[in-house]
Amino acid sequence: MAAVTDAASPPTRTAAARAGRRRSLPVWRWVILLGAGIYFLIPLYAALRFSGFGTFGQVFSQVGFSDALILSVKLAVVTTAATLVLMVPTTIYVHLRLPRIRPLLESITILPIVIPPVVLILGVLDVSPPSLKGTPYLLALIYVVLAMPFAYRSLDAGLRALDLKTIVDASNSLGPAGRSRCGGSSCRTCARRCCRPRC
Amino acid sequence: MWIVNFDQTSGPVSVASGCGKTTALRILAGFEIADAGSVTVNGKDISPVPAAKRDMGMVFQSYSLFPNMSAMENVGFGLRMRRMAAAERKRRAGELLEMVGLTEHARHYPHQLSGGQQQRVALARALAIEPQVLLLDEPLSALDAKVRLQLQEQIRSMQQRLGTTTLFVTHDQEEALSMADRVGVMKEGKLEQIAMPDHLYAHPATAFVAEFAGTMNRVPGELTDAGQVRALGTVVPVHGDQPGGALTEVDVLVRPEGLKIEAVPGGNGIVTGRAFLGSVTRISVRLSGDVTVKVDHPSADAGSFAPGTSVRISLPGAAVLVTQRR
Repeated sequence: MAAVTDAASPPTRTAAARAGRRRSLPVWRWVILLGAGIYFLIPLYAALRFSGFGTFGQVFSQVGFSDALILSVKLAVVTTAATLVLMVPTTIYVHLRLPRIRPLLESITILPIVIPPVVLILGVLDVSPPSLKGTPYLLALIYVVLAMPFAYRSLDAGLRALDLKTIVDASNSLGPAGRSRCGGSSCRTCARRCCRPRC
Repeated sequence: MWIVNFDQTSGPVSVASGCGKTTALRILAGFEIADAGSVTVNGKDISPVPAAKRDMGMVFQSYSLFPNMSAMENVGFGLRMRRMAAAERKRRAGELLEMVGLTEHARHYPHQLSGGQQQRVALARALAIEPQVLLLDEPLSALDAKVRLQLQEQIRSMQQRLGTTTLFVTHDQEEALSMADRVGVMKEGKLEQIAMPDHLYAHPATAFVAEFAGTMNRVPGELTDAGQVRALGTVVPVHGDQPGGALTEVDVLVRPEGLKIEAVPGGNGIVTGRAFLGSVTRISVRLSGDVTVKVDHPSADAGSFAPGTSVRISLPGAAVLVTQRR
C-alpha cells in the first residue's frame, strides 16, 4: 500500500534515531548504577573468594547433603501448608464476617516482626506438643509464626482486590451448595493469587 | 426503615432514587434480615427462607463473576449446584451465552472480558437457574453510556422473552422510565409511588415523585377556599393532597410542557434563554420574584421567543400538584 505523505509536514524522526535516544542514559544514572553494582557485587565476590571458587562444586558430593536437602524441602512444604491452612480461612472469615477486627488482626500479625526471634522461639517451645519437641518439624511451627506477617498481608491485599463479599453473595444466590463451593473455590483462588511469586 | 411487601407482578418494577433501595433488594434476596415485616412471593411468606433457597437470581453492581472460572463455567455454576448433568449443563449454559451474544467468549475468564461483557455473563448466570424473580442492583451504573444503552435494550428484550419477574434498582430516572413496565420511587426506605411510567410522570402522587421523575417547575401560588390554587393569574384545581395546616401560600408543581407561553408586551416574564431539544425548545423565563421556569414549546414557533422577549406564562387549566413553599 502506498504511503501518502504531506510535503508541508515537518520531517519525522526515524525509528533508529528514536531507539538510540531511548538507549542512552544520562551520566548520573550510570554513576548510580555503578555504585549500586559495587555495593552488591563486592560482598558476593568476597564470599566466593573466601570459600574458594572450587568449593561450591563439591557441595553436592558432601555427606548428608541429600538428606539435608530433602529435610529442607519437607519443612518448606509443611510450613507452607500450615500457613495456608491457618491463614487463608481465617483471613476469608474476617473479611466476610468480622471486618471490624481487621485492624486488630493486622496489629497481631505484625508482632512476629517486632518481637525478637529468640522470644518467639521460646514461646513456640512452650506451647508446642511434646511429640514435636526434639524433631526438625518443630522448625515448621516457628517458620509459620515468622512468616505470618507476610502471609497475612499478601492474603489481605488479594482479598481486598477480590470483592469477596459480592462473590459469596452471588454464589449464595445460585444454590444451597453455592456458598460452600464458592468458599472453597475462593480459598483456592486466593491462595493461588497471593502465593504466586511476584517478579 | 419501612418494610415493603412487593406483590408478584407480571413485569419489571424499577425502584429508583433515595436511600434504602439496595437494602430493600438485599432483604428480598435474603442477604439482610429485616427488623420487621415480611417478604412474600406468590402469596407465600419466604422471610425465614435462606438466600440460597429463595429461587432468586441476582446481578450486582460490581462485577461478581468468579475469577477462577471461565464464562461458560460461571453461567453453569448454579446448574452445577443443582446437580444437573454435565452435558445438559453445557448445553444450557451455551444457550444462555448465545442469548447474551457471548458464544465466542465462552472460554474467556473474567479478566479477559470488558465490563459490559462481564455483566452480560452475570445476567446469563442469574437466569440459568430459571429464578422466580430476577434482582438487578444497579447493574449498569459502572458502564459507559453507550454500553449502558445497549445492555438496557438487551435486558429488556430478555426479560420480555423469558417472562421473568424482574426488579431493577437504579438511581437513573431515565433508565427507570424507559425500561420498566412499572416504576417505584423510594424515599428514605419507603415507596412513595408505584405506577406505570407514563402515569408516574403525568400524575405524581407526591412532590418528591414529581420532582424526581422529569423536570418540574415550582411556581408560587395561593390556595383558595374552594380547594383550588391561584397561580400565574389563573385559578386551577388541585390534584392530590394539599399541604397540612393553615398554609395558603404554596408552590405549584408543573411540568415544562404544562405551561402556556405567549409573546406579549408587559407580560409576567422575560425570556432568559432557549435550549433546542429537537421537536421542542425549552425556553427559560424569569418571572417576578426571581422565579425561573422552563417551558417547552414547539421548535417551529420558538423563534419568536428570543432572549429578552416579554412573555406571559399561564396555566392551561388542568389540575396541578401543590407542595409546601420553600
